Amino acid sequence: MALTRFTGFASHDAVALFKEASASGVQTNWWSVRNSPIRVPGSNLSNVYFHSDFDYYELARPKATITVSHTSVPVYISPDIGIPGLVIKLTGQTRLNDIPIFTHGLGYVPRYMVAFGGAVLTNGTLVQDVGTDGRTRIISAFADANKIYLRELARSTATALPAVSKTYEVMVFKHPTKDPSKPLFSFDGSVVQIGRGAVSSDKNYLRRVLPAESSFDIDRGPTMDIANGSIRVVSGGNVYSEPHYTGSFVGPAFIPVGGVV
Amino acid sequence: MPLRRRGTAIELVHGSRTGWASDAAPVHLLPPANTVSITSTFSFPDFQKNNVMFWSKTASINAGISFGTILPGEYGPGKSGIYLLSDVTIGTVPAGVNYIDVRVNMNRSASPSPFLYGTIYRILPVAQETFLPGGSALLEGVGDIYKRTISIILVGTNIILRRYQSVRSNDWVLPQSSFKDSGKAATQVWPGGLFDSPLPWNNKWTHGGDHTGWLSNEIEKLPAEGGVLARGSGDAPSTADTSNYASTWTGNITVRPGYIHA
Repeated sequence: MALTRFTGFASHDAVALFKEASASGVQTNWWSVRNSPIRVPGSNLSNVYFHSDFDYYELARPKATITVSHTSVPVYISPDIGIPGLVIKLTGQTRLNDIPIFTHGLGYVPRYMVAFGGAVLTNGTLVQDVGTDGRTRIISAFADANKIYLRELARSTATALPAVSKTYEVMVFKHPTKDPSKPLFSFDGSVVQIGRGAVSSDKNYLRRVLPAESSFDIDRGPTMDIANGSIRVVSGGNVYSEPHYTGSFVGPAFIPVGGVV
Repeated sequence: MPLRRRGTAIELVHGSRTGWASDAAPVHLLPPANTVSITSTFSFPDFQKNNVMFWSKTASINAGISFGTILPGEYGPGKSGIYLLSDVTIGTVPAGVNYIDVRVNMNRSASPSPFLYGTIYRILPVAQETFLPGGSALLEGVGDIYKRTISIILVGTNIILRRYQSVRSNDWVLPQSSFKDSGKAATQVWPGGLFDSPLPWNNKWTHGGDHTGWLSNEIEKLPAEGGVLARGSGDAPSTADTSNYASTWTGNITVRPGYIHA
């Protein structure tokens, strides 16, 4: 009978919790068919519940909660661009602005997530929408080797876009590396680690939310749709639509996650 | 107990806190060797276009101006004709993968023409590593007039790039009452002869066959001219629109495959 096992092979530097691929072969033989999930996990994904070669979104820094004071965008009315007898003026101005919000200082560009409103901030999230005249503030996030930034595209019309404060949560994840000085599995009386530090009880990881925990969400499919020149963004079930959007996008399935400190 | 079993799961416990649990990992990302790194170039076509023209004439003024317009339309996969933007397969993942972590580092290598004298901003951070939740990105747009987006998704084991562009519907590019003969298509071109009797051609807008566009660019401005500056006259402002709102994006797409247990 195929078993679910938690085992390691030091000579192959691998630890895994997995359901055996079959009941045939010797458990201690790396090359047994039953050990396929630990040997070639990418070809046996549904059988693997943990593998020391996988990445589990370990936090490199504690989650940061940051309130950004987004500034106003003034009214703009252009000079006349028409001809004698026909006055044409353009109203409004657009401002593109990169706002550093968090210094991670890792020296490499990490994986990151920025949460807004209880869901991961998508690229092009509408965080402010005033009236129906097109005054909006759209946010994306990006990273470099030192910081996390918000890219803000803000637009006024013949009326100013007012200032607004918004709160974001920033999570930065390590590039996982195995520590060759650690054994495949160990407990030092305080900390248990598996896979030469692949996971460790004293670290923080993104994980599925437990009952009564607050959470944000990871989306499992496309998070935006455009129709009628306008956008709808749906992340974690949160819906942000421009006033003239005419589509019917309902957004993707998502996983509530939490446990991040 | 620092390591304990819970059913078929294992937990690593630190003090009173569960540091990690095998059934709590939202995503199992495959090792870096499975990362798919793709250099990609993709484009968006120019919009469908038309134009409008105004002849300003009084006893002391004879001037004309023409503008290009972009027409409403929805472009993307599943559309037909000129509105079809076909899916592009940019890579593959191992069988069984049901999640992709998508990062892009892209630049706009060919920019659209200015829109009403203004640069069209690149909303996607350019030449920076950007995480795309769900694989979606808003690349560029002008207010709530037009938008361009991409989605990078899995279809089976194929990594698919989908492009979308959308121009908002607009009943009249300018007030209908401001058009010659209320914008009737059959009466937009001056047939020659008198320009002001029985129905004046001056101090009216005319369109080039479609009144639903958005003013996008000035084609020609004639502030002081002689002659009849009505559409169809040899003296009128040009309607040769040289704008091009196509855009091309180039850069790297990094896809880290993963698996999510049900």
